Amino acid sequence: MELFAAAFKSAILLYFLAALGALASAVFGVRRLRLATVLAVWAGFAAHTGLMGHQIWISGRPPLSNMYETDLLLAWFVVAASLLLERRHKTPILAVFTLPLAVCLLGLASFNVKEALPLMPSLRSNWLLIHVLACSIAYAAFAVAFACGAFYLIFERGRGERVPFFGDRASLLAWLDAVGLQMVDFGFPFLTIGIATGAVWADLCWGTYWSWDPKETWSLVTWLVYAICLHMRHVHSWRGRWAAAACVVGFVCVLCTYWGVNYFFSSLHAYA
Amino acid sequence: MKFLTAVFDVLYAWLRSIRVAVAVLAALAAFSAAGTLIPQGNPIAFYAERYGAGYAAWIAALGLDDLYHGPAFLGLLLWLLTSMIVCSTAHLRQVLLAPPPRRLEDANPRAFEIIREAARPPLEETLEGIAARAAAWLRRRFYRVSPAENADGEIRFEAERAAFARFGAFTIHWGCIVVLLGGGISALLGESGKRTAVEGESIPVLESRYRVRLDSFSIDKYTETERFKDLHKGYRSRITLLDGERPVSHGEIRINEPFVYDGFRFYQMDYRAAVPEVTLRLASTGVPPQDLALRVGGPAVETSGGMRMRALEFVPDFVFHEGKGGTRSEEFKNPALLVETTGADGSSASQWIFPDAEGAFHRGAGSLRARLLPVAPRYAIGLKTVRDPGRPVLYAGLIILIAGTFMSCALFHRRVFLRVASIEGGAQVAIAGMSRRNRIGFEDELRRLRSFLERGG
Repeated sequence: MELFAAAFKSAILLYFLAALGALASAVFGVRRLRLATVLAVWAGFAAHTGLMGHQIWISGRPPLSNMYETDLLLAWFVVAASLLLERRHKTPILAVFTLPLAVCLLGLASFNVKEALPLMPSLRSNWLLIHVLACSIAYAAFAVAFACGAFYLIFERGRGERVPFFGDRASLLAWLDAVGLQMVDFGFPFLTIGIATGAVWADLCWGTYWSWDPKETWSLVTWLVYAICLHMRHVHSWRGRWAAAACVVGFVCVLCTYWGVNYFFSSLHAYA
Repeated sequence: MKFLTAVFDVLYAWLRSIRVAVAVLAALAAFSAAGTLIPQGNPIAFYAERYGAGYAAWIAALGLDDLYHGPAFLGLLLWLLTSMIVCSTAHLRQVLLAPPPRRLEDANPRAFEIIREAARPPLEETLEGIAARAAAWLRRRFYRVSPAENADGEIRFEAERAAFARFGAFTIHWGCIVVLLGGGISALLGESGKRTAVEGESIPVLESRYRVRLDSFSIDKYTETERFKDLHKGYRSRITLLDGERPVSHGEIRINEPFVYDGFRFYQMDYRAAVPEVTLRLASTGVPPQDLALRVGGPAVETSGGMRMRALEFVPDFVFHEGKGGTRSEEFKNPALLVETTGADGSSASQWIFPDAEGAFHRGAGSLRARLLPVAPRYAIGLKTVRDPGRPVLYAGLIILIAGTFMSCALFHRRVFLRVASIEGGAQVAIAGMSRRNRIGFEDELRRLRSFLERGG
């Protein structure tokens, strides 16, 4: 048990250090720092994966049924997405935003119950796996899109054609714009699956597929915001500042859906 | 007439307008969010207590207490539904009648991601060999390669992948339309109701000719061999459906597994101990023991000693908390009865009595001892019955919607144009790609094609 408490703290610490490293690497362009950052993320990710495995082992089920478990899972997806992007694009820039988010998620998880409790009877369903996994994948993709949008808005305000250590400003902004769009494109079908499976499950469990519960409603708001974003991007070629702002607003809705509802509203989803 | 035509034209233009549709989506999002900030569906007194009488009056006047069923929200939904039908029909016409530009030069650079690459294949390869290799590479990646044109000493051809993804947006819109139609059918034609069903008793099924009898209710627990022994794993209700007095079907309801019969779905929503009657064994000095049957919540009954007893409340799992008795759970672990006794002199008091200990009562000159006789566990469940003809329509809509989002977002339509030409010192392949989505992934793919061509056969 102590080993896993240590793994939990190690994952938080390593992600935090890696976030600092990514920031320093992005700002100062030190190549060795980038390598150290990537190693720290991988080490944290290994500890994090171990924690997830431990949770699965002690509970005998996928870790999807309470805030501690979903925080762990969401942080895992966010870090996995960061690692994939780092590997593909050879830049730690997005990790500057995504790793602190993972640290926050793990920090929040530490306030929640870590004990592997049995599933509530209503959660004993195959729909749990597909519903929570789909939503978590979507939220992780939107977190990366948020990082892209936030960086876009930061770098767009600078002066000069070049951004120190990142080269051509226009290319960097175009890249952030494209990755942000790619992540929204990736997350949107998963969010749709998450909402649709949630509706089917609610119908089986409560006899109504939509009850305007705050969690349901905010997931719909999130879906609508990303639908607006995609409409404007693909139909009106809406790029740049407003598209980036849409990614940021969309992620604020994700946060409302994922956290806000649990803390500020009474919801049928009080366990999640 | 001209005026009507002009109004219709404006209306049609607005319904087709993406900007108006986006504004409607934004308004729906804002309304939906607002509905979570103000609790919905409560009586005016609730808002008066929470926000004050002035604000409560405004909330009632603006319909903010029932936003999701108010005319503004339903109007927006209706506009969106109509707009989606108009837009998607127009979009389908556009896709069918005006396919994407056949030449790169004709493509709107703001509407399409246009990517250009140039490859220098090895010197020894012929133009035909290079073109064949490129075509084979593309076919392996599920591209449909069109026949090559050989003219002016160069070979041109194009390839296309996931052409059906062009119908993605159309599919999403029709998914949404079908979902909204399903929801509309549910709202207009569906019916549901919740009633308490007590074990052994039957209740009517909505307004139908059926009745449903709860035969038994049981709690499934984790067993000794499993972790979390004695914690609840699930609940099951066995029911019999009666047509008049004639049983027509038996079944079981579990959590996440409703019982379905003839379009009706039965759900167990909650459960509680249901003990309508208990028996007390009374003892008094010099008098033989007497069994006294009491209805819980019923009238007082006189005992042989002149005392009157009334069963106020039965709890299945007694716990004393914050100065008063209550129940810890709805399981029959520690039953107790709250009894009110009234003496001949009119003095009265209430007291909890249990099966395993006698309680002593002294009222005026009378006194007696009472014990609760064992109580057979009996449960009642909240039985929800739903008949919803919109469900299959809505489910079909959800499937179409999911398929549409994947077609549109994951399987993006892309086209590749190749021109293989001789240049001084060898051959050159000009590669151009066109898609509406995933510029980064498409760039990667074309870069791999360039590397493949440059590596040679």
